[in-house]
Amino acid sequence: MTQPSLTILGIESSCDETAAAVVRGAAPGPGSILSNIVASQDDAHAIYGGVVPEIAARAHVERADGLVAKALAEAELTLSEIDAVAVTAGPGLIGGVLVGLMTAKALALAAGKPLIAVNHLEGHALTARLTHGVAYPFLLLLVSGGHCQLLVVDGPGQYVRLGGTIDDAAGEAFDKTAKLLGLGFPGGPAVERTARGGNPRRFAFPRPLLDRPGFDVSFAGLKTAVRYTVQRETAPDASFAADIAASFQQAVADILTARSKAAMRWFAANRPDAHAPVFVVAGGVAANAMLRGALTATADGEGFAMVAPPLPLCTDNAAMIAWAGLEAFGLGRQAGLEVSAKARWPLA
Amino acid sequence: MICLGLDTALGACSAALADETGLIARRFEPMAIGHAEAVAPMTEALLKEAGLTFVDLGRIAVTTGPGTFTGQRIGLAFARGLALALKIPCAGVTTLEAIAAAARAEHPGRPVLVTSDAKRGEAYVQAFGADCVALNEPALVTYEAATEMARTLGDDAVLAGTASALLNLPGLTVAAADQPDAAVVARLGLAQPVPDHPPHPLYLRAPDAKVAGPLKAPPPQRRDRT
Repeated sequence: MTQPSLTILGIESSCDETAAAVVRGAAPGPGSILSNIVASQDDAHAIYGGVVPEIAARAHVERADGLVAKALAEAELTLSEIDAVAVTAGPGLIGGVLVGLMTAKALALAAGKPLIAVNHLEGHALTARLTHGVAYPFLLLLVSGGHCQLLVVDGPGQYVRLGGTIDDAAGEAFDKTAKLLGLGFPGGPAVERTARGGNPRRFAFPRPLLDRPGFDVSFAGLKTAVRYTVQRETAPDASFAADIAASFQQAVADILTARSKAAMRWFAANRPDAHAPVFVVAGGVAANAMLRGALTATADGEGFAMVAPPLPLCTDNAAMIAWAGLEAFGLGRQAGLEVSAKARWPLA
Repeated sequence: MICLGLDTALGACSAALADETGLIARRFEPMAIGHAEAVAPMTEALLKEAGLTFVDLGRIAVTTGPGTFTGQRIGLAFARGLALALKIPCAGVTTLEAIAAAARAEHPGRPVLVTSDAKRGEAYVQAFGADCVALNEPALVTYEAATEMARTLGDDAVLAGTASALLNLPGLTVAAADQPDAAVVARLGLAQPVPDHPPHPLYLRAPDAKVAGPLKAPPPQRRDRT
């Protein structure tokens, strides 16, 4: 049975982006994004070299209501025409999550609309359904500033975690490498830019854990190796920074492609009914063109179609929250007004 | 006009309804944590108890701080969300003026020093004269400085707020009211001119954040071998 089309307002404030969006559609997707507003705070955090939770929370509370108003206006809808309010309830920086959650509670209560508490990670996980209507089950590599994991997505709320990072997230490693090279924050785009033209073989950075079975990855040792190499070099040549960035990026690509390949083989063996297997790459790190290229080649080799949502939907946004809320609401899942924000909330 | 008052900024969670003739309904629960879970159901129950709905409201009033940063934002985000949904104005009331107004109701005609404990040896303070006029802007000062402020108010000064007992002032009267009360917040919010912008948090204390120091390794590309 096809589900009726729903129109959902989404709110996101779990890190340093305040976002509001309106999405319309029905599972399995794709849906239509009627509006998608993101206010980044990068400028506010740049001098600290990372996101400062209290500064982030202070910015969220000044912006959340205005962004919701803007998202509704762009969608040319009033709150009364929305079917439900979906909001990130975690995981993330709790002070920021609370701002979005309280805004959503107020809107739901005052407008008499259902409230849906969305797991931020599920937002990333289901974006490929919003954009491409990818069918369940699919294999997901979720790589962002705070997360790095390989999951089988069997349905909303139904995840099998194959593995993930045992220490830092991939995005964190990018940020730290950028900081070491004095490239600024956020580090992902800066490292990618600097790596262009660099020699990816000049520095043999470690690829931890790849000699062991399983799907776990580690980036802490890689980060340390980069630091030692940078600190030890007293007379860097002109291509030093570019070569460091390129060699680092290559190491990350090797780690992620090796584990993704193993995961694809696991998926093929354990989800044999998925005739046209799909490998979805989501999260902010998927914005890196070099990594996307390497992962696409890996997927091709294993007979998987790779789907990576468009870049603006890979970084934090509220359209993905609205969509995840839409799928949950379609299954009758709702939150009470007393629902708590969660700093930690694993998918599986 | 009916005003919904809200406070989640300090050690209690409260919601109240008032109009020009006085208080309609009030809920008040002391709590150190749990405001985010409590305030929405409390608001819903309050309206039900009063036999009112959201369309009956003409204004929201909320405490802006100073208080616990997270607590301030819980109330402000909730109040601003309600105001957006209902298309009605939202007024901001400081926790200090709300506590002062409650203390003055207990002890009419006397100067009041509100001192909320801000921890780390400091208090949020504001002094109010016998004529109800604020004598200084809300401030963050040491307990010692707060004690000095109280002494200059005179022997009939009334202390109010959670830092009252931490000051070395055995002779002064301490008001029973030591938390903001949404009933007072609603009343003060009603008395304000129509707010033309949403209320902003009043923090008085900067976030704990260190500017990224000199990089452990200097940016290599800036060095030159020649």
